[in-house]
Amino acid sequence: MLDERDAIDRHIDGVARAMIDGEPRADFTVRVMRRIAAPRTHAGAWLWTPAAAAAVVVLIVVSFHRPQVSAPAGPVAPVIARPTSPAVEPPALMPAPVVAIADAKPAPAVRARPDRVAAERPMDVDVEPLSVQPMHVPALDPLDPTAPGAIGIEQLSVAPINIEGENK
Amino acid sequence: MTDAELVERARQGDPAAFGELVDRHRSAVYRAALAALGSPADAEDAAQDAFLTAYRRLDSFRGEASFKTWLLTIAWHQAINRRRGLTRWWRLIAQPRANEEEFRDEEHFASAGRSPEDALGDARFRRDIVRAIRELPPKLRDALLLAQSGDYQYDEIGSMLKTPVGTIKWRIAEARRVVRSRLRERGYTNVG
Repeated sequence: MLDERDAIDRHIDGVARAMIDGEPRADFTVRVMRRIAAPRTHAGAWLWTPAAAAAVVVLIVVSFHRPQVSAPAGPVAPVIARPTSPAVEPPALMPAPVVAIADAKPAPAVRARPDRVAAERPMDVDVEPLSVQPMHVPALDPLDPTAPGAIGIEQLSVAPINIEGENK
Repeated sequence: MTDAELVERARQGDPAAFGELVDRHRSAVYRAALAALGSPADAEDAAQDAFLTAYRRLDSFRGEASFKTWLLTIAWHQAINRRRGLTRWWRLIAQPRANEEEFRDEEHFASAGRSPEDALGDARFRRDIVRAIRELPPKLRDALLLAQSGDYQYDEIGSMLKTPVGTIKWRIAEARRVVRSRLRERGYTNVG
């Protein structure tokens, strides 16, 4: 048992020796001395390059986040504009792919926008009911007809007109 | 001329003296780096960096330990810093090392019984040992490889790893035990 173990250990040692057996290249010393003789590069370059890259990334991130932060600061005017914009968007989308929008359940997508606006601006509670109404626009329900094109366009054109009138 | 004398001359601005020190210790430094990194190319880069660092810190060498021990400690730190890089680890895992290639290229005969008697000298058996050594925890693997290089005394290994000599010896024995255990798991019988 011990003999077997010793034999295996010798084998393990031999393999370990072989794993790190080797010599550096013949010109190793020359290359080391060349590096020593060469003017010393600025260690700061290794620091400044990634630091500059990091600064650029931070600037980009900050610039992207700024609009979101500044929006709540402007209280009244933008608030009115936003509820109208989701209402305007559906008509812009509807005319072209009528069937596709019917299948994609447009109502939940429209509901999300007023909720988001409400969450961002608790002060604008008065505006919310106005924006909710266009979401339930029944104009979307009669999408049942098998020949969709003409009917869809008529309904879309009606809904936004009502909303804008109420807001104003 | 002793290492200490060469160090003194190098401190006084004699580059040839330091060149002589490089020639004397290049193999030991290179093998230490190879033990840590596993890749000859990386080991050579780390060894060069070690000599460069040693040259620049020559004034801080106080002679408390031998120049070789001081140099090996620097080399080990250089190599370990490289090893910590994720890229190096990925290369270790993803690419077969040169030594393993050698084993793979060797013709090997099938070891039907897979007893060590049959397997000794078998390239497949050696390859399995290489794999088992590579899978060792780094502390065990480092101790085993450095001890087998033949370039270092136990106290030098202890200085490099900042570990007592007794612990180094235990790690070497433990490394062998774990390798034997792995071989047993791979179906080798009578491996002690």
